Amino acid sequence: MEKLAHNLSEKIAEKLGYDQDKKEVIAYGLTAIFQMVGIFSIASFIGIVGGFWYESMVLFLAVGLFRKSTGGAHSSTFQGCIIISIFSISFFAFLSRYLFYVNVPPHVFFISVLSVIYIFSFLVVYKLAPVASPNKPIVRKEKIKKLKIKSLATVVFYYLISMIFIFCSQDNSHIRLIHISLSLACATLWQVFTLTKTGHKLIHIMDSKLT
Amino acid sequence: MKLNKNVLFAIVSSIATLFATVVSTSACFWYLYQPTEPKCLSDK
Repeated sequence: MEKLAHNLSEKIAEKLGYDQDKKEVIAYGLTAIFQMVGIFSIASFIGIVGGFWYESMVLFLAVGLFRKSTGGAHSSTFQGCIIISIFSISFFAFLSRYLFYVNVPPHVFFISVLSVIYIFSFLVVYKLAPVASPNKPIVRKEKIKKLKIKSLATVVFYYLISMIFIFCSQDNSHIRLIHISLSLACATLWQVFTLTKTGHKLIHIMDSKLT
Repeated sequence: MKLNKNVLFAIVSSIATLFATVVSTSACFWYLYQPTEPKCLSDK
């Protein structure tokens, strides 16, 4: 896919008379688009087949948006990224939809558990975010500060959304909202995990098995 | 036909550039893969 992006950018640059810098920017942008579309398509397909499409989409969007300000562990190849991303989205979506539901008054149990998850996430993000990659170093202090604030705001925002969904499902008429709020918590927890050294080690191990 | 192809390439190039610019202001790509950032977009 990355090769396709580079070949396409090569063709576009040749036809439109762009220089090397512009060609690299187009290749970079196309790789981003292909990655997003690839993960979205496959995660959607698995979600539809497995009956957890809503949860998959919440995870896809929540992790993606959160990651843009926090950074985190990376796979060394495009294919490794796609596989690990699809696996993590589908795994957590499946758990949120079918296994995490407990038959107790939701506003007691879930609020407690989710509050612990989000407080933990907030602390980890405060300590570690943003986590740069060697291919995209972040050196400017203003940018680091801005990304950290954005990351913390995202954790708070996700927590508020989760709580609203939990309260809206108090009479058990909207159980799916609980599944979705669980997906949001899983997305936050997973992304926060990829900020840690253990998260980096796990991604590296998974990556080495795939490449 | 040639004009249409160039218009299509220009549209694709604009969209790709927009995505590249958005990514460059973020900490990383959308998910787990981060290719080398072009020098003209780098943070340095």
